[in-house]
Amino acid sequence: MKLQIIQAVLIVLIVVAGIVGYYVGQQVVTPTAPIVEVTRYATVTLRETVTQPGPTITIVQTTPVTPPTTTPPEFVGTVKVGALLPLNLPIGKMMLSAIQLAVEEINAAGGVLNHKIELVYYDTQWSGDKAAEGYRKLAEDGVKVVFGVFGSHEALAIMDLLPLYEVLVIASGAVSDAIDAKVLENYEYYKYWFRTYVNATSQAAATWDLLAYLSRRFGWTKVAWIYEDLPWVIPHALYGQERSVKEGIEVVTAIGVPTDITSFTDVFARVMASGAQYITWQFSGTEDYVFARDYFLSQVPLLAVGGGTYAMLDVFYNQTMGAAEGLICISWGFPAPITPRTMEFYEKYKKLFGTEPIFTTWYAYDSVYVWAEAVRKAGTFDTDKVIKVLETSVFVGTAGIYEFTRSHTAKLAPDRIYPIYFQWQQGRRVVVWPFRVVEYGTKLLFPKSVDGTRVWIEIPWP
Amino acid sequence: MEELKYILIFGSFHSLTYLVFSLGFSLVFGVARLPNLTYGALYVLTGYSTYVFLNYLNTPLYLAVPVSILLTAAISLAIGESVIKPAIKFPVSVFITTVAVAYIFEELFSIQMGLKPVTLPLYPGTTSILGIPVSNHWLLITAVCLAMTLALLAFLYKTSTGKAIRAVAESWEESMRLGINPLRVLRATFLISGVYAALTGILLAPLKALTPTAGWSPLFAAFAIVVMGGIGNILGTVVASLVYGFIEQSMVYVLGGGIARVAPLILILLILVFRPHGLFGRGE
Repeated sequence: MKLQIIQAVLIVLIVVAGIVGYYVGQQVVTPTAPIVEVTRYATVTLRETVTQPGPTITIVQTTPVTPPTTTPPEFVGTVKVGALLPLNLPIGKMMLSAIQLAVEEINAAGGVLNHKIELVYYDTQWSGDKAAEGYRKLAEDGVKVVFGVFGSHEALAIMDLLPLYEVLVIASGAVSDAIDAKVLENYEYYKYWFRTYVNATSQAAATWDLLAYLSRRFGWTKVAWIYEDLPWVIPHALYGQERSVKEGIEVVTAIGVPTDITSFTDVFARVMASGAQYITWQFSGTEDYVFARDYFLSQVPLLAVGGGTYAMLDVFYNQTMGAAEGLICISWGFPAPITPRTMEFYEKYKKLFGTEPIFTTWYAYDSVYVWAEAVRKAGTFDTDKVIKVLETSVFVGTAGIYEFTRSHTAKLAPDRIYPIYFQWQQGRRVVVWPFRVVEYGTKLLFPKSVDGTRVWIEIPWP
Repeated sequence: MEELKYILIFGSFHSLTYLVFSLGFSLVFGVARLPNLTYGALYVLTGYSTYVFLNYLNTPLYLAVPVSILLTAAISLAIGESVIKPAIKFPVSVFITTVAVAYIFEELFSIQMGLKPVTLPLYPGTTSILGIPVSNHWLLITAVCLAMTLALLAFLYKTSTGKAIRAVAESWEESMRLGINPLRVLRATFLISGVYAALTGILLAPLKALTPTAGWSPLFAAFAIVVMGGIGNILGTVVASLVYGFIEQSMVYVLGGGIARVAPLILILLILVFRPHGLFGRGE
């Protein structure tokens, strides 16, 4: 019995130490000052961008997709490019198909500097070790650039190999701010890293831009935050703490939910009891479905603005049997006239693969064109010269316009890379933000409670 | 006070989802002492087969459900006969081979059903409980779960096959001396646990979206619950499911969603220190 009590005490001590460590760890990661570059909607315009001090920026129109000519182009040689992706995940497979499509199109249009592009890819299996091994193998195989790199843990695993092999990486994903911090702290060491996507803090900033607008528009000052209780949400929490104060918005309740949650009824009840005037939500798993279902079943009379992996899919509305009505969802890459190339890629991808491109698929496709145009502009495959072009140019892609910040990540701004927010309306995804791409005559569905039943009122938007 | 109401209602429902999942698993692992890890895959299989019947073959729900149950039960029997029986004397081998089969199923689901989640219809309507609107599907789960528990207890303690299963679990050799054919008894176990896995799929899959990997998380919880309740004791499984579900649901309020999942596991550690055979398990 004495031994059992000692064992029990030890377990309790380990648990207490774990909890203390968890909370101390959270304190440690709280930065005293922002270490990454974040561009906010309210402070950025194209004019400011091009007149800011620093290198002159030129806009490069990436080559439009051209149909294959009847006579195959003549190449003077072959250049290898690599893709490093977790092919055990659906998104990894989708990103690879987009990269392959871009390579085929560029080759059909004459290649790069009259060289045919040959794609070599490596499956990381969502493992940092495998990613490092893959980068090494691709570099030793002679690739000029590596695309893909979806996971932050994969990116962090290859960062210290960059100066050894000096092979450029143009990632589409891997949002960890720690990567940006590395580039800023040691440029010479990590200058080979670029990201045709935004970092985690910019992701949070985009959501808060819309939350801030809704606050100004409707006079709301109280928001409820429902989030998946996993570490990736931490940058969003840190950013939200700072931004909410600046915007005069109080986060009246923050509810972390487990990934295998089966009911949001109690969560919504807590939200209503908190006095929140609207909701923001963030999930990466299948919580979206449960959230949408209970948003309907509980007849929640509050606008819910957020992001989920599945809520952005075209089939989501039907899968939830219409329960998603009124939800406002984020989508990185969207079939709307974002750039002249957006719809062309969307239609082509959907026709070829039978599914629409989602999330980083758009950015992976663009990354190949960005590199190809940088090489053309540099007139050489030389990595240092290509880096200089990437740093000083602006590239028109399908998901937006790419301009790289000092940390070599795509700049977040409505006229650069920016998410689309749409509202589910009768099975359609109606774009409601940013206003640059909102169609004339758009209506916002605004919830109102009438005798315990939620009714949607259409209001002109914007 | 309001929070207590939510913990009470949703803690109950949450516990029932664990109980539904654990019952059939407890029959194989607890009673027959075979760690059949294909149980989660059978749960997912039923969800997918019902989905296919409803959406691709336009089968009415009243037909889709029984046909899916029969299909899963047959596959459970086939797995038992072909994969588990040859390794019956070596539980570790059963563990490994059933994990392998579960992964094969997972890959097949990914290839056949795609990687996007699918959804199944909930039982329609809502009912107000203590002023809280609750989906009628939860009430359906409650009723069926109660029926499943009582049926399993009645089967194990009142029928000759049930008594034979318990006898085989006690001692393979002794049961043979009593004239019981252990292999035949095991066949019944595979079949019944297949039916329970299927019922679990029908009841729980509509609660959230179904993915090829959806079976693993509840399977691990069921594993812990059966050990916590005491291997071989269905009543122990019932109590452990309730404890597990309530602790987890309460901790969501106190600590947040992520760390809440750890709370019942810590409790299990403490329980096993003082009662190595679980809450209701008997020592050797």
